[in-house]
Amino acid sequence: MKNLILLLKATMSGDMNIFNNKKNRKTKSRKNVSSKLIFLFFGIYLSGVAFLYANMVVEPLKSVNMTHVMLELFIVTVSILVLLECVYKSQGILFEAKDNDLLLSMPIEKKTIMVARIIKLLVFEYIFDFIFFIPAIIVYGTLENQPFHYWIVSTVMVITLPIIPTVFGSAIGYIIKIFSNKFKKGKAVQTITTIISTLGIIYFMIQFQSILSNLGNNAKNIDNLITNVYYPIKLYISLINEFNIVNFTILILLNIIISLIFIKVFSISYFRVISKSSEYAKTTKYKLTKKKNSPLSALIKKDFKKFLASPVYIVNAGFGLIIFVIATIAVSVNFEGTLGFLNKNVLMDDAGVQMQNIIQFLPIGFLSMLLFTILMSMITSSSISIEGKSFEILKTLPVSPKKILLSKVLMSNIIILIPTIICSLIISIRFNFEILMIVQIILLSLLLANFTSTLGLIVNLIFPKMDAKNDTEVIKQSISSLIATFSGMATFGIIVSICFGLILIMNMSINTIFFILIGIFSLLNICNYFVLSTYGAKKLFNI
Amino acid sequence: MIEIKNLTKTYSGNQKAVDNLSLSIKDGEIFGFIGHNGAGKTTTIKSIVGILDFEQGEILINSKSIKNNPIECKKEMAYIQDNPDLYDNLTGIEFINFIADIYEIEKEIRNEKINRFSKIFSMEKNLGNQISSYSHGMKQKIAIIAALVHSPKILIMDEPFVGLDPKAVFDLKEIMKEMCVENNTTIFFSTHILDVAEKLCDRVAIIKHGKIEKVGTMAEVKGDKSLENVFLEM
Repeated sequence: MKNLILLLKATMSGDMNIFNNKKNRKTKSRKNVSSKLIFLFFGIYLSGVAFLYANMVVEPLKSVNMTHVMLELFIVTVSILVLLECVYKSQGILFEAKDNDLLLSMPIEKKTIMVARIIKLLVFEYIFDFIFFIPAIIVYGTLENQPFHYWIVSTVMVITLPIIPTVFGSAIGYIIKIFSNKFKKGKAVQTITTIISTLGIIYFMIQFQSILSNLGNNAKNIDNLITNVYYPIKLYISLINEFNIVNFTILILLNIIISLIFIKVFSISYFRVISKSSEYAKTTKYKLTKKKNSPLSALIKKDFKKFLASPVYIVNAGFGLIIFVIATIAVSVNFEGTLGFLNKNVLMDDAGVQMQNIIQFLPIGFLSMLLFTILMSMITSSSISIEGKSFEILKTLPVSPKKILLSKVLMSNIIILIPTIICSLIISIRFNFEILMIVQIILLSLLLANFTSTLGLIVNLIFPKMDAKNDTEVIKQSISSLIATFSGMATFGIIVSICFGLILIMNMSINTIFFILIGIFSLLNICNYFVLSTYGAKKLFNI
Repeated sequence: MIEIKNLTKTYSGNQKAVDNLSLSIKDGEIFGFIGHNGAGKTTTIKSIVGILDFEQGEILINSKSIKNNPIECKKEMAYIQDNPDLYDNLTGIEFINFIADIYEIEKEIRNEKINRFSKIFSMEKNLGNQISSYSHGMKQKIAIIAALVHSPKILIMDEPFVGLDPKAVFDLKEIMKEMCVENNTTIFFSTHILDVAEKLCDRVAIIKHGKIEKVGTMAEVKGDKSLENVFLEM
């Protein structure tokens, strides 16, 4: 226990500045304070959105006296989000930590190291819990004038909610790691199996979504399904209706027991998996170069190889692009079938969207998808941080900071543009878009990709994290990646609102909207390039 | 030539790592930089190669300021870290080619050098493997090969012999001597191995608490004593 606490202190202090000594804490830089404020702002904003959504969802449930189903839906949502995150985060945090050598050489039980890392993983999952579940608890509690025991039980539920999904996500990540270790190209296998697992979970989510149609009439079925499938939810709902010490104890013990079983089972092979992960297929063969690359190409190649060598980097940045490609192919090959599936499972018939109208709105629908995909693929938000200690190499080389920044922007652009342009051409040809529209879509893709790449880089320059213990910390748990995610969402929200305003209020044509967006993003790109070439170039080598 | 004039580097908390340090290293000279742990050797070296910014003083690389002309200065230099943090996901050959591309070395020249130095350092069989699979010594060798592939006019090394096997230490010393004699290369390196410094260096400087205590030829610095005794007396 003592070792566990020491380990947690050591690992958490780097991530959260919680246990830094007083002298360090006193030197509050402006950046430290501003990053905490940014976190707080986004947290409050998203909680506000969750609060509004909880109120929306509870409305149709009031008439059938099943408002607790709103709580159930939020618990399921948070659980799935945590599960998805943990599938690939766990691989980095559990197995690819840079302090493996240090910890494994010390008299610390391997089980203790594993527990410390799972706790570290769990702590970050509480963010989903706090942002999405607490507003739902408040909405339900105030709406139904819940007694005191409701708040106690709900507090325990907040604490225990992410545990089981974290354990299951870690178990899946564990199995993926064991499986990929058997192959020479382990990293590639790891990436592919992670993507497949994540797609599987999302497919399940979409199927689940279909039962949410007509919430008011289906509340009983939804309630039965959720409480039968996920026992902790059944316990929680029974506890908030009528407090029972036995069920309360079972709720707490269930989480502890499942966690203990996971640790007991997986700690047996934990050391072996870490050991195998650090083995490499060896070869005596190599090829001398046949051609010289320019310094810029060399930098792009280097970054590209880093991207491909990191499963968490690929999954985090490329997953949206993969979904985009799958959706494009599905719509192009089987338009009616795909739209029918979306209509049933995502749009839930309530949206009243008629199939025959969809083709008319396809360009704007495709534009929305393109916007969302590219804006959420902010690869460069980690591209400086992921250099880590080897960043010093770049500082000693005869390349200007501008060239280094340009190489990162170009690398990101290449990754984003290849699938998006191909998909744009497929959709344009399949649905006979006009030549002008095809040109506009491609131009907009270029501008969007550039905007995303340059914005991500600016954010990473302001909030670098050069001392991460693994890639997962840089890509999933750094301030720059969080800000990048939220700024991508915010930009998408603003642009979509502008577009809908222009269509509905000013009755503008889609071509005109495209021109306006091209103008907006051209200006934004000019601003970003200016910032990068002035502030960015100065800041880069001062990191 | 390297000229360091009144270099001062202060870390946060008003801790002076280097205090008004001045040194001049001539072309074709092998210059040893010796000091206790935390004396300021690495800070000085990192300031020379452009990794660290410094608030006072001037560093000139062949009459060009590292602050005002960093790219031009770096074109003439190669730097080997004390603890080589290389790109773990690249293979040895990929890393060397990356450096060679940055310095725009033609393929024939680089391939000839890669073949030569990989044989000298017994790394031919490992160039195709990922750097993450290398031992510390192997990483050091790759860093050395990558530094030598572009024939730098100035070679800056921070404790280059640490982690190398005895043959590699010998080979590196021979290469250093050859570079100075044949190409008039300036070599500036820090080391704790006083025996190597005594046998190899034309001149040495001893740094203590950020200041130069002694500088000169080996004879001038140690006199009748051994370098070790001079160092320990300080």
